[in-house]
Amino acid sequence: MAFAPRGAPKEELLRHTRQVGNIIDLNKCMGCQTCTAACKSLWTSREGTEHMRWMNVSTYPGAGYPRDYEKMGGGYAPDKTPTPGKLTTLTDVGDNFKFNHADVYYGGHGQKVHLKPTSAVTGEDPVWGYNWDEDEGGGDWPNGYYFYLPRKCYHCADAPCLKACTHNALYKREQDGIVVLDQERCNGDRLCVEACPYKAIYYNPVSQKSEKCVMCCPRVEQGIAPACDRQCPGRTRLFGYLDDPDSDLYKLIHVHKVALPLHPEYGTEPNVFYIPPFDTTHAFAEDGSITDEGRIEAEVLINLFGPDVVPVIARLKAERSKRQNGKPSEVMDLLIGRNFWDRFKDFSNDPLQEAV
Amino acid sequence: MKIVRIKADTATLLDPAAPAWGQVQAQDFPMVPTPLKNNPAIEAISPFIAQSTDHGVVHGLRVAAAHNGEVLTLRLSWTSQKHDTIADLDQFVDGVAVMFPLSAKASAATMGSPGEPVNAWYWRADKADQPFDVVAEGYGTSVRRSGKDAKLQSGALHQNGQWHVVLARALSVGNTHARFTPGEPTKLAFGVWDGGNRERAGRKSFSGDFMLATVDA
Ligand code: SF4
Ligand code: SF4
Repeated sequence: MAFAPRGAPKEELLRHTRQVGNIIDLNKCMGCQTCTAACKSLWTSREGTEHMRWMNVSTYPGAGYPRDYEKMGGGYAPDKTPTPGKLTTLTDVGDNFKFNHADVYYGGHGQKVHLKPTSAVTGEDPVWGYNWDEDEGGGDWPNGYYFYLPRKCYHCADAPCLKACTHNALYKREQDGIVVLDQERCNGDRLCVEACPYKAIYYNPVSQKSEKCVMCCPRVEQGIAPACDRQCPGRTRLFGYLDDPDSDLYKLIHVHKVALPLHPEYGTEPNVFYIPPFDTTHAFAEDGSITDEGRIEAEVLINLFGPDVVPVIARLKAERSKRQNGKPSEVMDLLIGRNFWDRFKDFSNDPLQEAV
Repeated sequence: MKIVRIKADTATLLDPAAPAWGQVQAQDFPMVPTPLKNNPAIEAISPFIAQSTDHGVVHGLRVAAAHNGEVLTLRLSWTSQKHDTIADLDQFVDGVAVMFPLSAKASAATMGSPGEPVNAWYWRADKADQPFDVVAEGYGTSVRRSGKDAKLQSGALHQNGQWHVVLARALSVGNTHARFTPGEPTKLAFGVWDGGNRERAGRKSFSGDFMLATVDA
């Protein structure tokens, strides 16, 4: 393990021989939150973690999760100078609503009392929460649109969280590049939360330590894909070693070059990639006729995935037309991902089998 | 500074409002922001904290120090308008620390160095009666030890925009902790964190390098 002593150079903590990663196909995500629920029930149902969603899905355009994380700084400037970042509040990360369950179920008020959330922060009606702006999206009528963006820690190659921690609590695991946060060393200083531009680290006010996605490393060690990836009914996910040329993951990222990291300009070199939404909706023209143009505004995608998204979408559309015209397309076959074993390859083991 | 000998029991001295403290002459120390920006040693341990420029808002610390032949006590006072609490995920609390060298060559500015450790007593407003005993051998190496082993004790009072914190420990608890011998000098340095200004870790005010203190026989 690249677990270096306190005070050791950051290069030692970043050292790894292999790297696991993901592709998430945004064209197939239906916003069902099964991934979120899988993660939550496996990792964040402990006291002090109620507000955490290491795996989360929000509607874009939108404020995202944590709220407005894109406006909170962190990461690096183009010259690699660290960009100072802000901390998230409990409201930003979704609050921890309290419900009047006792009153509704046992209060004897019949239909007069309804289930009602109360903010754990203010004690009042909530003003924001997880998925608060679900399905609002963007665009002007009649060309409104939205898509879902599942997010988790990107297990960055140049992880700012790891670089920010003065106690060397964060490190990359030697064997798979997963970024983990040692609870023994964490002092709760939250320098990592400030530094992560994706706001993928959460403070636990009960343990007074920070916590983050562990890419289900105990499962990964058993050849089982992370819970969010495995549970996804939309088959949006591929998971595996990023350097394996025989993997579908590798082919889509390196051979066909149709997968992109989110916000590459943050400079962290993320290891989770996205197939950008290539918009199967048709926009209406002013006279009400249906056009061949999509509805998703190009700036929105460029803002999320950088300028490379334009040629990637052109490539994806060309591949789709090949298929529509009855010609073969390896890209389309890979994206359909019919086969579970192809999507997860070395990590296709069944958790129930392994547990026995 | 002077650590005076006083006839008072430890329990009395642990109360920052105890009249006994009236007999001990306090001394004022100027406090300055820790030099984080353009500091290569800090860059190496956290290039992010090395960008900090808005820390170190506490400019002075008043210290009274006494011992009763068994226990060393320090009464530390500074201005903090608010007793901050951690009610939300972006909040921090006030804190204060006193540091002692564990070897002759240890430097306070770097929190010691490999082979030249320092020992600190660290008090935080949200754990007011459980001060931490800390040992470090350079930036980023600090380890909190169980306060129980060191038998650190504390008393605290926030009044009229001022903190008054007493830290106390037996003169000697073994050679992995700072030791004090009546009649022999010691060295110390101070650090203060303003919670309202999100100060924690290296984001703090400090008193500079170790200062000599006499311990009354
Ligand atoms: S489980 Fe799959 S389809 Fe459902 S929200 Fe998550 S990524 Fe999207
Ligand atoms: S996404 Fe954030 S938490 Fe995850 S490795 Fe990158 S900087 Fe660290």
